[in-house]
Amino acid sequence: MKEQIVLKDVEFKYLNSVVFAGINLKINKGDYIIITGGNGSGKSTLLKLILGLIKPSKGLVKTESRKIISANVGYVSQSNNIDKEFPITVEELIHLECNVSSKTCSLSPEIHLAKFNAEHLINKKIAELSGGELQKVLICRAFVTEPEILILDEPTNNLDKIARQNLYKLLMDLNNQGKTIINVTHAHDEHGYSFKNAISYDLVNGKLVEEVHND
Amino acid sequence: MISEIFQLEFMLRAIYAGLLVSLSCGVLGVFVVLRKQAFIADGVAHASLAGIAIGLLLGSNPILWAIAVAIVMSILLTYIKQNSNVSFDSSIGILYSFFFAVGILVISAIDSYKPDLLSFLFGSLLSITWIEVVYALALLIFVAIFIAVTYSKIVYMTFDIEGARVRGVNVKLLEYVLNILVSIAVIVSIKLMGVVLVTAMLVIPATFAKLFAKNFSQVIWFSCIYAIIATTLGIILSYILDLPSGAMVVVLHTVLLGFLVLMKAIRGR
Repeated sequence: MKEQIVLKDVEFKYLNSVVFAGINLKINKGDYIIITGGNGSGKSTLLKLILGLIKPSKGLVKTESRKIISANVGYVSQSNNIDKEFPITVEELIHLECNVSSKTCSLSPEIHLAKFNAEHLINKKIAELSGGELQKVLICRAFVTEPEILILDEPTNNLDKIARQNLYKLLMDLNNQGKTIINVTHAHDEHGYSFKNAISYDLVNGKLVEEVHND
Repeated sequence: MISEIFQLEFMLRAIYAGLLVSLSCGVLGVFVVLRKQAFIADGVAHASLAGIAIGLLLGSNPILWAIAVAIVMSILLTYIKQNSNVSFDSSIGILYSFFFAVGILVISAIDSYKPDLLSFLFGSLLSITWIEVVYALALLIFVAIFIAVTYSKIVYMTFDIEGARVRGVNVKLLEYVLNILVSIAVIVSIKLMGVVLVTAMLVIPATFAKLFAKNFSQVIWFSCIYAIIATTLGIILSYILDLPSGAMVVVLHTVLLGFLVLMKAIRGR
């Protein structure tokens, strides 16, 4: 099995206090990784380390390509990090993703939005969207370049039950196609969906503890 | 009266300079406002007093010295933002106070009265030379090339800086270039607007555009068109009423914005 991402004895400190330490993680192509943990446990920080946005205080983060910050990653960050009053339409936002990525977008934005029954939002400004609608758009934005690795930070935030089901069906399809998915979440929502190579971790007291391993 | 204005060379220089800086500030202002960094224009304008004072003291071109100080200030601001936990507003407050204080100290060392200083502080149509029109044109060319080359990346960065980094956008370099161009735009606008009023050129047109545009493409066009109309009318009115150009342009920008926002609110009822 080809390792795409390896974290070796990783420690991260913020303002001299250790957020987590001794993190060892191997992620292979096609894995479905779930990372759970309470507020402030460092889940989002762990994702940022994997993405190369921050550097570890100790240890090594190795990715398949020298730079994981590339066209091969689709990233859904927490929507509270973005300016919801930004004067841009959904269509412009999705086109922007295609323009900035070195990969071409083979499907139109409407087709991606339709997976969440959200194609009617295409011409709306993001300021006009509800929290749930914006989350659907941000998820579509991450999927539009059909990346090999999906990194999702609390993707079900603000989503209703149907949208959550649509998301997990989509993730399951992508995982079955061999895409690697790293899903940081508060709670396990994926019951009832069969992911290949699903591995679940809990980030607790600064340690990453493996919970379940379904082959 | 209007035809007379276009026969006066100093008015033509002022109108050309006004049109050119309106376009540059109209475009750059969109990114300044959306990045919530309006204070940078005010900070750079005030800091430029150090450059203007050095230029007057040495008897060389104060605008070139002001541009040099503005570039140094924008590089320092960007470096501090990217490499420390000091907030952007705080670092602007610290640096502009320092450069402004240096400017005051240098001015106090100048023996003779310098009438030019007032035109820098409050703007003056008469003080604009063809060289400054050329500076404004050169700036517009740089801004146009920068925006054309980096359009998608800079819009992405402005909307979602973390996402842009994930996508491999060189956010650090873009921030340096953007802040340097904003600083130069501020200085190039100073002869028209004055140190204390130049911020309006960047902030008001972009604020109008953000409120009225239906999509991002419209934001940039609306900002430029608003800046051109309000600035040109302001320059013409300042001549007709014999009032300071900077103050007249800012009053017109603000009154027009207030009127349009009011109309929108009434129509929205």
